[in-house]
Formats: sequence, structure tokens, C-alpha cells
Amino acid sequence: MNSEKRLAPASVVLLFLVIFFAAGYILFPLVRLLKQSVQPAGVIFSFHAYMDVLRSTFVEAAFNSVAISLLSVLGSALIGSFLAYVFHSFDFPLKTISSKLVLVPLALPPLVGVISFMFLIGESGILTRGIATLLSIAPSHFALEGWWGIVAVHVYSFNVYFYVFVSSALSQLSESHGSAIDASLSLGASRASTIRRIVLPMLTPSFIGASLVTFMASMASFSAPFLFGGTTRYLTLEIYTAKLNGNDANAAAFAVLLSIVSVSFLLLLRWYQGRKSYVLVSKGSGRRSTVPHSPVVRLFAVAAAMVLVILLSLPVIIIVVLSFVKEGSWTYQILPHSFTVQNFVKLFGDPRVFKPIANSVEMALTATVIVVFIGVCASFLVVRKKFIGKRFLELMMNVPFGIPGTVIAVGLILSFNHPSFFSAQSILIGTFWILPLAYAVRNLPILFRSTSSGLEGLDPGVEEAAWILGSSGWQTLRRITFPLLLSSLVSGALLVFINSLGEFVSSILLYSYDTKPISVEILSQLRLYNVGGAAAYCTLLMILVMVAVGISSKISRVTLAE
Amino acid sequence: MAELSLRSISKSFGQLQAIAPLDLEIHSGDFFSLLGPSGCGKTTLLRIIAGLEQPSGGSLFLNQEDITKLLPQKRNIGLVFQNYALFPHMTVFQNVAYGLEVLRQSKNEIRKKVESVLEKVRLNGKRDVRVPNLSGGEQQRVALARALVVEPRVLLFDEPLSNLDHALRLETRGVIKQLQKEAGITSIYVTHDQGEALAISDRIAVMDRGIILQTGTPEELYFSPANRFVASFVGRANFFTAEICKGGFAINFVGEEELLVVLPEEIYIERKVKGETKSTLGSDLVSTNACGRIIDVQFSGAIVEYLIEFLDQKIRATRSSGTHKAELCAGAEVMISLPHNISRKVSRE
Amino acid sequence: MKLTFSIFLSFIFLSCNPSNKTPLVVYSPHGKDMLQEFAKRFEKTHPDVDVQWLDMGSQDAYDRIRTEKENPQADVWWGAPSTMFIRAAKESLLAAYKPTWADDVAPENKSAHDFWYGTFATPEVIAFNSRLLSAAQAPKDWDDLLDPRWKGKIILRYPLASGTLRIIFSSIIARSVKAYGTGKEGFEWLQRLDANTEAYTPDPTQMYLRLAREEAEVTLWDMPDIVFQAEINHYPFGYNFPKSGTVSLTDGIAIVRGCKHEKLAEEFYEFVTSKESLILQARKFYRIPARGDIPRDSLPSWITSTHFTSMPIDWSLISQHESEWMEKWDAEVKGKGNR
Repeated sequence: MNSEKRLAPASVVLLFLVIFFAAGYILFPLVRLLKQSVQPAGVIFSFHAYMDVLRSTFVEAAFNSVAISLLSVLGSALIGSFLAYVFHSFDFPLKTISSKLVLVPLALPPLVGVISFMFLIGESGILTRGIATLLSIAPSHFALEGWWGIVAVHVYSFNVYFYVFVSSALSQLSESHGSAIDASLSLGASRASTIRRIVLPMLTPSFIGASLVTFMASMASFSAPFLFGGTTRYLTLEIYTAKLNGNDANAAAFAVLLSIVSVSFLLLLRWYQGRKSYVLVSKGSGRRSTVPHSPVVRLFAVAAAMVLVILLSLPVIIIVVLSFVKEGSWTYQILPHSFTVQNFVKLFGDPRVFKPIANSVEMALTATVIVVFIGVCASFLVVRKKFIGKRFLELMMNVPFGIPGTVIAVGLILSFNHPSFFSAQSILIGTFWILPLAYAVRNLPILFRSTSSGLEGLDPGVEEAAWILGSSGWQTLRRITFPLLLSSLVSGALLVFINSLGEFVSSILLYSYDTKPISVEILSQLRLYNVGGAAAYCTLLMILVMVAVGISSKISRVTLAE
Repeated sequence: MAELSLRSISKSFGQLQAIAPLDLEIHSGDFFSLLGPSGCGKTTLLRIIAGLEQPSGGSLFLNQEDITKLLPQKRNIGLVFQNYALFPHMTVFQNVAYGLEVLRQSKNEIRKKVESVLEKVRLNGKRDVRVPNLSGGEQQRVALARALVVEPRVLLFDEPLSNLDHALRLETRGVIKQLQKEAGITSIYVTHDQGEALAISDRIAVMDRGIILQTGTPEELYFSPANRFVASFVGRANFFTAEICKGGFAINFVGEEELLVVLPEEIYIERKVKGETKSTLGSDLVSTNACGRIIDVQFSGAIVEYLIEFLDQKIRATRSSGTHKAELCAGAEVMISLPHNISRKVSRE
Repeated sequence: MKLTFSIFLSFIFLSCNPSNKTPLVVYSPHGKDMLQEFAKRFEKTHPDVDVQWLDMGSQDAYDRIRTEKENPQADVWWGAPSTMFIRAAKESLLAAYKPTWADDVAPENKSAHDFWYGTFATPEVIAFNSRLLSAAQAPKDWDDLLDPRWKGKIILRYPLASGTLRIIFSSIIARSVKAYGTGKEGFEWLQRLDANTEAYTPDPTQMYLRLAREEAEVTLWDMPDIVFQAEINHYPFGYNFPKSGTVSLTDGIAIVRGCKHEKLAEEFYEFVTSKESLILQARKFYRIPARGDIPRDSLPSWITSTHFTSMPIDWSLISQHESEWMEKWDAEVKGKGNR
């Protein structure tokens, strides 16, 4: 393609904008952090912090983090892919609603998720107490805490990545490569070996993508180890602890080391992916084809999937229930007994109740717009163009996912607490912009990945066909490329929006009076020991998420139909 | 009506030379084919003509106008892709109308033109169907209609029939040829199927490894191949290191640099009868006085093809099915005869 | 496309908040209700001021002030244990201000250089679930907590993140330093406590919930909060003052160094620490004034009826070593009491 050879002026402008963003808001804050780790107060250069950290708890914490993250990947892969496969291969009652329910963990902010987990599977949880009463044994035998507690929460939240990645790969696969499945079956291969030898290898790219996202998210996860880890050491917790103790250099050193571990994993998987990529070239049209299963397998698979769906939606149900439970009334009982609407009445009695919601929506939308713009430009440049430093730019677009929110927030504060070239010589801290910026940085990799894979899957011939018909570059982009990318773009943007809506770890460091987000407001409620109020707020947040999901699927449909 | 001329067009990808500098003239209204095995550079050449690739050197003239640097959008050239490259989010009508819409034609006019072209490709019943729901043949015809509706100066085809089954391929081939003749559009057709190229083209260029080996009418290529590759690729010819002379077949007679080219249908075979060395030949045939053994017999309707081991090489002979005899089966010893007037020769290389 | 763009434009308008009031930024852990009340009262007397309170834990407040050091966002830091203020003063995060009531505060409850002044006294107690235990059954002194009877029955806040627990743990070690000249015995004591501890909760809410939901029976916490939970939220909580004497923590107030509205900050400082305000805070928000000059009859009975002995504590030793001790506890004691 001629456009690969030379960058058109428009592409140069886009490239400049993307580089500006990556350099200013991803690289620069990281460099500030690096500087802090080797330059503690008053010293010009020292590796003391690294020596200190490596000598003390780093090895244990790093081992735990990596091992727990790998277990989380494994667990998420099993559950997420299983659900994706069942939803793809079988038809059963309530399928549509169930396939939506699988996405529910996304809507639950970690802070509140934890409370609901406590009421569910904590030592005094409904399930724990219920089972203990049934079997008449002490409830503490089940309480999920430590390693398995963290893994459980991670699998709960991150199996969605596998579900989403594998689902889309499966539908692509059966539309374009049903013939490969049919061929394998007609050659006499058993169903199991067809799945193992044909279906699984073809899904490899999506497995790798989801593993990467899950691993990075687990490494950067803070709430789960903080709230469920008990005394388990975890890298993100060590950063937090060092910071609590006022040892900024050690905290920065931990953060730098954590980033190195995450980025190495990223590079390792990239390398592996480069060696084993299957080019799915589709010529002509195919038809939908899946591996057939016996009715018994089907029954068991569907039943298992339904149980999983119910388990996945339980925490949300608990939150909704909690928002109607009278404060302080649900203590030693297995199930709550006195219900009230008082929590909502009190909530709406506060004249400022909608302010945090409006703030969050506004900031999450701003972040989404920024991310969509930068992410689409960046993936377009990386997938379609050739230029020096492309690999590095791609790395920069992926890196923020492996960095804990706290670290990103601290990096942003260190960078924009004074006039900077990247903020047009103004101070961003304390303004509206710093929060959407932090959300944008944190979520950029999601959109970048979804759009990149969408672009990679797009037949370049379709755009060429448009050019040849006389359609200008802009017309082609608007009428062909954009509508075709829309579904991956909308799903990516939706994830970004939802994540930003409930973002907590960096918000708590960056918000100001006028920009208090929902998550911080929920924390305020919790700080006043107002569990019911927090649950009520959380219910509002989840309604908001559902509205966003509804709007986004409408957008995809309407634009496709027009 | 347009004529296209390529002047020392070349293309390299890094170190790899995909197309060596070549010249080509395509006459107005011609149906011109680029024939060659996959990887020979024919698709790259087509993409250069379309403007999707920039040539590394040389220039391209359309009606004496230099279009080498012109963007694909400005060339008014149509292209039918191998995988059709239809717009999957649009209906048949929207796909076909797209090229007219970007030209800002009036809604009325667009509808008239689209309906007329859909009529021609017999798709008017499917105008509101989304393209992923069409069959392969229907998608192919949408691609054709989409390229035709903007009345391009030149129409390019990139192996458009390779995804269709045999019967559909023959039928669609006819449709393409007929529409092309009706509209009189200069067309360039890329294919690796010699039968297709011979059947459909006014003229053909045979390409191999980035070089055009020969350009000519189907008859010229078939009966007067310029070299061994063309003879073998277009005519599936046999090569002999001997020459037919009066009264006999002289082994090694042909100059060391040359080979005798014999087409499969020119070879006459008959079952060897024990003790018999003279065959009952007509006056226009010369016996080679050597025996071959049939390795394989392939019956394909009108023609029967025999693969024969003969003088340390494998040769191919065909007969019309009507003259096939059961005794000509695999393993049979056969006498080989050739027409006495064959003088077609190519260089050894 | 158009939709997105118009949404985007509408934000830019929304985010420009045309307010010409002077903002006064307060970082405070005192909770939404109390902050809202005092912000409203202060704005009534200062109509051109917009009090912007950020409700966060004292540790979070300290963290933010330290990170924002180059360009402070906050004006007033209302609420943190004195040890944290001592550390902040050492890191030059605080501005000196001498309030009008400076002399009514005992010397150990204020900074010698006016960087901070104590506002509330918070005695720590041994709290318990009163549905499961009576005051007589519950531990009555620090050392009672080490009894094997309480194994798996004690739930504590994660001490590194809790000013309250940091002080309690540091006091235990300081006590050992004082008695034996070394902290070794103190750490051994904490290790035995760790052996009895069921869990360390990341936030107070979880501690309350787990105590109320009978996952544990005993905790260490501050008295005003326990009273608040029992009286307002009707949680089944009771408490004992440790017999041998308890740790009493002083909660203070300070002005952030380099803040943007120093004059206003001082006015707010005076406003929320006036006698009337302190009485209101005691009656409505369960805060015990640190000053000795508040008339006793104006205070609620749960304060006036409280009698406890204080543990003698070397505050300067604690603020000097607290970080180091807690780091050591985290690395060597936490989870090691072979539970």
C-alpha cells in the first residue's frame, strides 16, 4: 500500500498528538517516579532504595504477586473461556439475559465488591453461614482469605476479559473458518481433538491478549490484596506500606520494579505471540459452524454455565439487598430481616447527592473521549503505518495497564504540580482535568487493544475498494473504516467508560471538592460506617452502568443500520 | 474507451524485485489477461495500474495522460477483488451506490443507475439484502456491479472467479465477457488459469517471476509459444530433443539449444501389437519408432488425457473421448506418432 | 460522531464553574456530617467564602499534603493524631499559627513551635461485642488480650494504615523501652497479640461489621467511635478502659505551609475550635474536647461520667521511632505469631 511508504501530513499531525500524549502523560510521569527512586531527598544519585527494597520484602512480595497473577490468569481463562464457549455453541432459555449478566462484574466497583463479598463468602457471609449450618461445622473453615481470597476476587473480576476476547474470536472463527472445523470432523477427528487441535490453536491470539490484560491487571490490582490478602505480601501493598511509612524512595523503587516485572511479561508474551501467530486470512464467504455436542454434554455444560452466571451476579444482588437493609440490623443472622427505603430517602435528602454522580459521568465521558481519540489514532498508526519508534509507541500504549493506579496518580501529581510543557504551562493538580487524564492514561490500553485487533481483522481490500470508487481518505474513514470498527470501538469505549465511572485508587489522590467522584463518595459513606448508604449509592452506580451498556449497544445498532 | 500503456514499470519490495522493468500496451476496448503462476507479480502489476501500489520506476499512461502519480481515487479505474472486498455493513444497493454517492450524483440518478446495473447482473431481487447474507456467486456479481456502475475507463479483475465452483465459474465468466463487450470497457484480467485466460481474452500477457514472457492473442500463445515456459503453461506442451524429418524421427537432431514443442492433442498413440513394428498411419503422421507405457488415464468429459512414460520423460497426450479405446489403459504399451509437419521450437532455457 | 462532539462541547461548558467565591480547602477525617455542618456555619458568617472540605482518612490527608508539597492545594488540615502532625512539622509541611486559646491546652497536647494544637482527646479502649460478652467477661487490661482464650477472637485495624493502632502499638513498644531499655519485649508482646488476632481489616467499617457480625469478639479502638456506633447505629458494642492505664491520643488541627488563603485559614481554625464549636462537636459528633477550660456541665454525660487512668507516654520517643517500629512490625511480626 502506498500509504505505508510515506506518512501523509494528516498522519504526521496525528502521530505528533499521540506522541505528545504518550510522552507527556505516560512516559514523563514514569520518569519522574524513576527519578524519585534514585534521588531521595537531598541526594544526587543513589541505589540505596533498591538495595533496601531487594534486601527486605521485595522477593517475597514479587513471588506472591507473580504467582497469584498467574493463578488469576489460569482461573479467569478457565471460567471466562468456558462461559464464552457455552454461550457461543449452545442455545438455551434465558441465554440473552445471561450473556449480559456475565458482564456484571465490570459494573461493581472493587470497594463495594469487597463489602458484598464479605456478606457473601466472608466468615459471616450468607453462603459460609448457610453451608456451615447445613453441615454443622465452624464457618471459619470456608472463609476465603490470603492467596485464594485474592485469586477468587481476581477471577471474579477478570474472567470477563477472557469472556469478551474469546467470544469475539469464536464468532469470527465460526464465520470465516467453519470449514476448518467441518474438515477436521469429516476427516474422522473426534470432537475433543477437533476442539484441541483446531479450535484452540485458532483462538491462541485472543487467549494471549486476554492473558496479558488479566496478568497486568492482577499485578496492578490493589483493592483485592488490600482487602482480602490478610497478611499476604503483594507488590502493590508494599508500595502502599512504604508510602504510609513516609519512605517515598522505597515506594518509588517498588513501583519501578513492579513496572519492570509487568512490562517483561508483556514483552515475553509479545515475543511468543510473534512466533505463533495464525494469520486468519478469509477469502470469500463462509458460514457459521460449530463443533456439535451430545445432549448430555450440552446439558451439563449449560447447567454449569448457569450456576456460574448466578454466582457471578450474586455480589450485585447482595449490594441491592443491602441498600434496603436497615442499618445495623443484619449481624448474627444468616439472612437479613428488616428492610427499609430509609437509605435511599436519606441519600436523596442530601441536596448534593447528584453532584458526585454528575462529576463521575462528566469525567468518565471526558476520559472516554480522550481515550477514543488517542487510542484510535495510535492503533491506526501502529497497525497501518511504518515509522521509526513504532514498537516503542506500542509499548507505551500498553504499559499503563501494568502500573497500579496509585503509582500513576503519584506520577501525575509529581509531574503536574507545577507548570509544565505538557500542560501548556498551567498547573493541573486541583483542576477538573487531572482526573479524566488519570482515567484516560489508566484505560488507554483497553481501547488501544480492542481497536488494534479490530483494525487488524479488517480486510484492507475493503478500504482500497472504496478508494478506487473515488472515495477520498476522509470519506473512506467516515463511511467504511469507522462503521466497520464501530463494534470493537464501542465495546472498548464502554469498558473505558465503566472503569472510569467507578475508578477509585487514583481518584482518591487527585480529586478536589468540585470533582468528587462517586467512588470517593461511597468511601465517605463507608467512613461514616453507613453501609446501607454506600450500598444505595452503589446501586445508583450500577444502574448508571446498565444505562451506559444499553446506550452503547443502541449506538452500534443504529449506526450499522443507517 | 481508453488505452493503457505501461513504460518500463518496475517494482521492488526491499531487496526483492517483484516486477522487472516492463512495457505493455493495452488497446482500447480489449479484454486483456495477465496470466501466470501465483507469485509471478501479476497482482502487483494490477495494483500498480489501480494506484494501490506506487511503481519503483517507470510510468503509466492512460489515453496519453501520465497517471503514475495520480491517487487511486482520481484514476476512474474499476477493480473487482479476489475476495470481493464488499462493504459488509451495507446492503447490495448501498454497496453499488457507494461509488456514485461519493461522486455526489443526485439520488434519482443513483437509483436509476444502480437498478439498471443490478438488472444486468440479475440481482434486482436482492437489493436490500446485507451482503454477508449472499451466496458466493451473488457476492461476486455485487462486486462486478459495484465496479461497473461508475463507468470506469478501465476495469481490472483480480482472479474474480477463484472462489466459485466450476459451473458457476463458467457462467460468471460468460456474464463478465458479455458485460465487458456491451460496455466496451478496456479490461485487464488477472488469472492463473490458462483455460480461463484463453477462453475469455482478446490478448494475453504471460508472466513469470516479474517478467512478461510473451504477449499475444490466445491463438498466438497457444500455437506459437515464444519459450518453454509459455508453451508449458499455456499449451501444457511436450518437449522433445528430436526432430521430425522426412520418413522418420531423429533423436537428438534438434540443436543442443532447442527443443521441439508438441501439443498433447497432436500426439497419436495406438496399442502396440506384438511383432508389429509398422503402424497403420495416415500419410500426415510419422512414427517415432519408439514405445511408451501409459501410466495414467484421466477421463474428463469431452477429452481423455494419457500420461505416458516415453524415452525417459513423461509426456501428455489427449484424444477426444469418442476415439478412446478400452485397450488404452494404464500399463499398456503404446506406439507414439507425431504429425510430420511440426516445426515449433523453443530454446532449452 | 456529531453526538460525541456535542457531548464533549457541553462538558467544557459544564466544567467551567463560574463562581467568584474564595475557595477554602479543608482536608479532614471528621466525616461528611460534621464537615457539612461546620462548613455551612462558617459560610454563614463569611458569605464570600466557599468551604471545600475533602473528607478522607488522616493518613490519606497526610499523604496528599506531602505529595502536593511543591504546590499545596489544602489550606487547613483538620484532624490527625499528634504524632502525625509532629512528623509533618518536621517535614516542613505545616505553617505556624498561635490560636487565641493556646494557653488553655496542656503542653503535651500542642506543638512547641505552634505548628499544631490539640482539639480532641481520644482515649483508646478494649471494645467487644456485647451480645457475646459482658464487660466482666471481656478483657480488662492490655495483658488480658494475650490469654489463649482470645485466640482467633481479636480483630484489629491494619495498624500501618491506622493512626489509632499505630499509637497503641508504638506505646506498647515505648513502654518496653522505658522498662527494659529495649523494644524487644514490646515486639514479643505484639507477636503474642498477633497470634491471637483473627484478622487485620483494611478499613474501620469492615472492623465494625466483622465485630458486629460475630466473626470476632474483641478489638482495640477509640472510645468516641465505639460510643457513636452503639448509640447511633445500634451496633452491639461495649468497651473497657485498660486497668493499668490507657493511651490517650490527641487529635489536632494545623494550617498547611504555603497555602493559598492563609488569613481565611486562620479564621476557619479559630471558628471550629471556639468553645461553642467544641461543645457542639461533643454533643452532636461524639468528640471529647482536649482543652481543660470547657465547662463540664455543658458536656454530655458520656464524657463527664468517664474516668480512666492514662498511661504515661514519651510522645517524642514515639514520633521519632514510630515509622521504624511499624516497618519492623510489618516485616517481622505481622502474621508470624504462628496462627
